[in-house]
Amino acid sequence: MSNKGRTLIRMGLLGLTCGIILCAGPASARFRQAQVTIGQGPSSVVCTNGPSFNLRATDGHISVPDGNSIYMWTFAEVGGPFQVPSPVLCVDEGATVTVNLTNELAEPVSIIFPGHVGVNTTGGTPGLFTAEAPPAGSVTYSFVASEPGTYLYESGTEPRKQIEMGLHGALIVRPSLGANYAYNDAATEFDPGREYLMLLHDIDHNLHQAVEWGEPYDYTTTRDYYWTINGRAFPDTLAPNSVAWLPAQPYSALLVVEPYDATTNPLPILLRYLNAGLQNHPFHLHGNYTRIIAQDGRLLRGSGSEDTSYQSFTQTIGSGQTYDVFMRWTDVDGWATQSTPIPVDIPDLTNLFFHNAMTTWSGEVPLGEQGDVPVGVTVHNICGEYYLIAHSHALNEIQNFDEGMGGMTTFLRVDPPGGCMPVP
Amino acid sequence: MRARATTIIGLGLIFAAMALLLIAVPALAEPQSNPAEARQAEPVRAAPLGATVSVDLCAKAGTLTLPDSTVVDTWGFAIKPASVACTDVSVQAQVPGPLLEFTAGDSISITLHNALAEQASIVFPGQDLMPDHVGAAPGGSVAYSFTVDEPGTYLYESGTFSDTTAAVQVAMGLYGPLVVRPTTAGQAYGTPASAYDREAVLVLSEIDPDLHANPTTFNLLDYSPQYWLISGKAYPETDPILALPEERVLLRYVNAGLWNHTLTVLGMHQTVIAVDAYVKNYPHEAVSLIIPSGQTWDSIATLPAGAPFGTSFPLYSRNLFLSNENTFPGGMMTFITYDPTLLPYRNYLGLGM
Repeated sequence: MSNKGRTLIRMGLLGLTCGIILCAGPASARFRQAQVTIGQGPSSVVCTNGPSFNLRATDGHISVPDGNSIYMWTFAEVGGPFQVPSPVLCVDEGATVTVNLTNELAEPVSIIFPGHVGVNTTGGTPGLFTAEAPPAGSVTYSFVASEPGTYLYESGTEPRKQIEMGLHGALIVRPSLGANYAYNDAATEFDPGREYLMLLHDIDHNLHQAVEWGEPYDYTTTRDYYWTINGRAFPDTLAPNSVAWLPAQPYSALLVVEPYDATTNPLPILLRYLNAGLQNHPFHLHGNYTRIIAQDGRLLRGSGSEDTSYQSFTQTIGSGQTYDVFMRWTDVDGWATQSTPIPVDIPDLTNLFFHNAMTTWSGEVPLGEQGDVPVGVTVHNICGEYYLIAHSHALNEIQNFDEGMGGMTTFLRVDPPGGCMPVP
Repeated sequence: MRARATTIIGLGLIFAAMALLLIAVPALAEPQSNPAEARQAEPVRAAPLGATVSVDLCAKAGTLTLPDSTVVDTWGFAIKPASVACTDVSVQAQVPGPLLEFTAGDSISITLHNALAEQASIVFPGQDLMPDHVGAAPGGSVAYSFTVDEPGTYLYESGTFSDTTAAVQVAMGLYGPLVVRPTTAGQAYGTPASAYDREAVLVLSEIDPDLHANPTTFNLLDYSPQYWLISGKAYPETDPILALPEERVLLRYVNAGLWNHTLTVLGMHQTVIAVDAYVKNYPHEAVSLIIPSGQTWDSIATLPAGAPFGTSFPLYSRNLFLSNENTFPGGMMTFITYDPTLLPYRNYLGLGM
């Protein structure tokens, strides 16, 4: 999509959304373009399948919605593009995972696999936490993915710097029970088309700029200015996977759910939270409770297999933690598709901010082209779906630099029963 | 004198002798000098002895030297030997304060002798006594009596918030760990799920040198730590935790800092068995733990079988406070290290290998 499209989406989002409580669907129009593959929604987890991976530590830039671009490091696939976050590595339980890491950066890098036992290294040079790949060198890690679940993989070399720079990603171990189960437990079956990555990160762009320019940085003065989910800051979090205007940020963070029905829609959606950032982030969904079924790749069960999962509407995702979370939409608001007005007032046009009738909200040409709002953008709620905000409840984190709202925010889209045909 | 009382006095002397060295118990170099080991060689007791234990503590000024040779002024607790004044140079303030160890059922009498230039007190979160926020005047003393009923990992700290200093006494160093042991040796809570082979007390805190330089005028709104400590030490001076493969290491986290801290162990999961000395009905496994300020967590990390000699498993702040001021590596980090020179523990305890 062109810059124009992106700009228009932002206009719509900023203008027409958002009491923090509830948002009607201005973002919907652009989802019409997305292709749905069977069992996979346009914002679902995108797996890079293993068990052998060839990664390269490399650099590039990401885009944030206030117009800034941030220098990042990442583990990209050899032969693949620079991307943030690093690829989601998916393997089956019991597989021997092999990661060959080649270093294209000017300092040593490494990968640690928290939650995994007996990681063997081949080659490289000794480091503080694990073997490292020197500049232009390589190292190989291998281990058996013995337990299913959601895990981080991240730099073990000067992690204060390298993890923030972007050297981190998600590792999903599929249970032997089947890929549509989170764990080897029949109660952990989820809707296979509704599996979502929620990889949280926090960024002080001053560090990134210092690294890019080879200048010193005082870590004791860190202050974050950007907060991302899956490498994107709101409203970019809403765009589908792999949109053309975010070439280095392929992963969507839009959550989609349909009302629970014991017969036609019995399965929950699965959210895989991971916090690669330095701060703990209290993540908060509106509308329904979520059920926390696992932490750090371990199903919550007592020693006698008692179900020790629990519900919360805010879950603090600590640094380095992962949580697997189920959600069912049980229509707590009594909202009836197509018959009840959307419970939000569309703001009066006079309450919207435009610099002038021909200017994007930012007023910056690099952010988009000028022009009239096309007809399509005035279409809201095209199938009766509606949108609830889901965000860090550390509310300073739902902005981009000083521009709100943004940051660590996304939407939960509630579709009518049976799905939203025009909006897959 | 009863054998138990002798043991307690003996332990007290060890604490005094260890001064700043002691906290990560298994980190001591020689196994035979390890107080935990000595304790575990005792016969298992069937019932609480209900001993009466007296401890005399000093609160006094001291210093703490950080790995980059920065020296900060501190206020700390110290064991007061009988007939030695707190002001004597042989009594050195510790950060954190000495590990206070008791057995469930003991009657405790703690006397605080205040050698600071301002009012000081101790509160004992989780113990059954009225918290004291008044304490003793400079040169005075105050006594606390209570019974430790429940085993577990606790914190003791200053309860004084004066008009002149605000709540800086804890940040200055007036805090320490308090461990209540069940009558069954080798268990944290007298339950099979709390059985362990080695233990380490990890007191988490931070240092903002500006606060330590000007405690009476420092504005806590400006609190900005530059050093992050485990039991009073920053990496690379932190004590390693030594153990053998398949051994269960009890990690007693005590967050005495002003900030919450998130701690990660690589290469194994930790099983959380208690929070604030309250036993979890259903322990859960985790890689990374959020330890809020003022809270204690007990987890058991079992070293994987087959680890090569010398394998070190990082234990560190996942908030990545891994610098001393601006120098990496440092900060809140240590290692659980497979030390093949150790004697196996479980054989002592008869728990089977």
